[in-house]
Amino acid sequence: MIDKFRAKFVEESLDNVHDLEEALLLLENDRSDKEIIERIFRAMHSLKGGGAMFGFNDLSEFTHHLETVFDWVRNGKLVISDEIISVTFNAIDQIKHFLEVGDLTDEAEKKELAEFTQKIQSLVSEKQEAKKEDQPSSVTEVKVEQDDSKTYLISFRPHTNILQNGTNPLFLLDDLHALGKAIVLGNKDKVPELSVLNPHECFVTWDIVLNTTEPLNEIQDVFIFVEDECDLDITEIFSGNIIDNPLFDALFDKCKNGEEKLTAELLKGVAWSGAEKKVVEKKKTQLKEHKISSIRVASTKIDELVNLVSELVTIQAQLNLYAENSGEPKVLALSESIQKLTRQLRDNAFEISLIPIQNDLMRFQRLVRDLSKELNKDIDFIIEGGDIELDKNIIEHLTDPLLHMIRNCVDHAIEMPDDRIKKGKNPKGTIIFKAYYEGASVIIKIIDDGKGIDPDFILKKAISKGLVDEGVELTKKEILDLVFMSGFSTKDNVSDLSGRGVGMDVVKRKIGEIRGEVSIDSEIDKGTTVTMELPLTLSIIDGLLVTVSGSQYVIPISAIEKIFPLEIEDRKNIFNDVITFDNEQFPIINLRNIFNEPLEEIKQHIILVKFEDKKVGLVVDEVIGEYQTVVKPFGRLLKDQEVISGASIMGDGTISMVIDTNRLVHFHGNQKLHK
Amino acid sequence: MEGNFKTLISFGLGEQTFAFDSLKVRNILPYEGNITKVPNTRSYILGVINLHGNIIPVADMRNIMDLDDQERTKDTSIIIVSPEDKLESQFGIMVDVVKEVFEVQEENIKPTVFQNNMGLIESFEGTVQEKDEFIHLIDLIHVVSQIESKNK
Repeated sequence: MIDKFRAKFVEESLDNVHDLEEALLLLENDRSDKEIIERIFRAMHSLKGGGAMFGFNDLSEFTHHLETVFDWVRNGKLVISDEIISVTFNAIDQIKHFLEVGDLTDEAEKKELAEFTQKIQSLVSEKQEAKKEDQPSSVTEVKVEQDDSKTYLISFRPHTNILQNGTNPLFLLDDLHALGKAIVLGNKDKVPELSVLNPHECFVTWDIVLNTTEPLNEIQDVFIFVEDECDLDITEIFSGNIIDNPLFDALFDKCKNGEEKLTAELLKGVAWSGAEKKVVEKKKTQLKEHKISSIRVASTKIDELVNLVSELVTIQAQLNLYAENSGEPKVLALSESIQKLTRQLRDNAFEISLIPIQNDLMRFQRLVRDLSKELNKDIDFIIEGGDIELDKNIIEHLTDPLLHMIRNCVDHAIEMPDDRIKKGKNPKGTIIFKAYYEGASVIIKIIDDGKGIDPDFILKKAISKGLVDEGVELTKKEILDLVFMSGFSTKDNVSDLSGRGVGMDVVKRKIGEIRGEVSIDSEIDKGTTVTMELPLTLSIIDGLLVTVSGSQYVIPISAIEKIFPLEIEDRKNIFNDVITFDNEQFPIINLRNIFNEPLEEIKQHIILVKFEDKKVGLVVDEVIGEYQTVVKPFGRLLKDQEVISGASIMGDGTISMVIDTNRLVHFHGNQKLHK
Repeated sequence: MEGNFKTLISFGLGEQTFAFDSLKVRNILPYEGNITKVPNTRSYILGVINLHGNIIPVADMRNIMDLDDQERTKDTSIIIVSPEDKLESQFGIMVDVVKEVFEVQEENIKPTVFQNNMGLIESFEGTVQEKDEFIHLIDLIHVVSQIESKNK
């Protein structure tokens, strides 16, 4: 049970860390933005509170020190410096480490941590000394006993149901006492008569006057787990101690007897009458009930929902088939209504499983920042279209390839500032991450203005590696595409930074796994653009059902340009696997050849599909019709399938294979290249 | 009774009896001839079946073990196994006949004394003597890794 909560805490904390990182990156650009500082503070605060509760004691302790730094920043005692920012970035990594492993056990790590903690503490203490030197006199002028302490009025009004969670409000009061000197006034006027009193409910409210040297957030911490079960109002009354003031005693006695109400104004009156004191800025923290606008759901539940909807789509197709055959008008109408609902449900379910690409981008931004600092390069990372949403399964598959490509950009593509100046370019390099919708796909481009790729170099390299034969005439595009071939890597010495030699071939494969396509375009000294075309969702496609030698296959409609019949007499137009049709020539691929089925002299059909900038005709036997299908994976045993991306269950329960046209054409093309 | 028990599911291929760990077996189906062929696969992949809306590949155990092909009978069955407890690792194995589910004490599992490979199977997990029969345990993880390494 605890493990479950811990896992949940880690998950939520990772969100907090993520938020922290994002805010910090923003802060680096705008160091005076109060809201961002608040955001950082809040994220740290939750990490600290939760950490202590779920047994991440090191995390909690560590974050506490960090929080103190930002508390100072928040109160204007400390100015954000480069040092603070980089220390905080390192601290975030440390926090991530804590979330991964829990409390440290390794002695060396513990030692490191202690040093690091000291470093963080030094950020505050150095300033503390400076501060004291700055204004030595202003404090002593005040007549009332004025130390570093402050007096707060805390109004703690628990909801009647607070006891149901096992909270004992008296313990909270004890905690307050531990912070400093506290005087507690209980209000019992709401307590009903004994005969009608429900012992499971809490009717008492409390007003507490607290004099403490601890910062405000320490007081808030006391109430951190009952925030939702109470109305809490913490008001700073005075920078000093008023509890020992005789006037306060008098006031307090009056309040006790019910003659006066203990309010901030009255208390302030007491404070002022005792001293000539400048007005203290009133700080109010109202913990309001917040409306729930989103809920957190385990991703497995979403997967299950999508699976169920996919099932429903399949069954619905069956029903449709039956209704059409039956010719029964009532059944037909019902089936149509269900079809409409199913479609809506499907769209909704898929929308739920979409997440904005933004979440990932933060990591990339951080990567560019850290890496460029390390390499002494100056790089701007610009994001366009971060709100584009993609299936979470796609995003999961996308992270590694993107990380790798961005790494490549920083590591290899962008030149050192000196070199850039020599080339007459802006010394500051730019990497643009651009995402946008195009039809049923999402396009992601990574554009850099670095040194670009030299096609001659690529070709030489490919020839030397035996990937292409010497003397082959290739277009520039075909040459650039060679970087995607396995066994091709232009860096001989594998750089640690660019991901241990995982080359573009892996990128291509990974993107291919999610039915995406990658292409590359480059101009020497102008830069390189890598373009990825990704499907919006993985599991449902509109397909064309065809047969080849008795087996059914589905070709995704999105790839299809045109369909035309191939009569037996048309075959004379075929020469060396190229057909002339409508005054155009296309290469054709006979699927019977691909699937090792015997060729027959029958009427066939040609399905013209587009592949990158080419058009290729696929020869199939029969075209049955359009079909909306759920693509199911094949399972591990068949994962090496080259041209079939999965299978789909038809309305009648039979299975048809889904053809990946891109891979089919590419696979076929590759075979040729080697011959 | 003492010691650790293992529950096994035994099946026959010709005259021989083999067994899988029952914890890795998900389902046993009769062979109904409804396997859809997948083009360009190794000979031991018979095709795929639709099991409760999931596509499950089916392999031929005779082919994997390099035994002669036999005519399918009403006893021919498909054992759905999941070596790694994930849906994507599920697959079916066609065998001549599924025999029984039985428990053995782990110390009664003796090392297998075969000297030669049986097709793709290079090692067995052990052999149990049950009544008058010797039953050879096949490790599914081994089967999968053999199939995968040969697929490339």
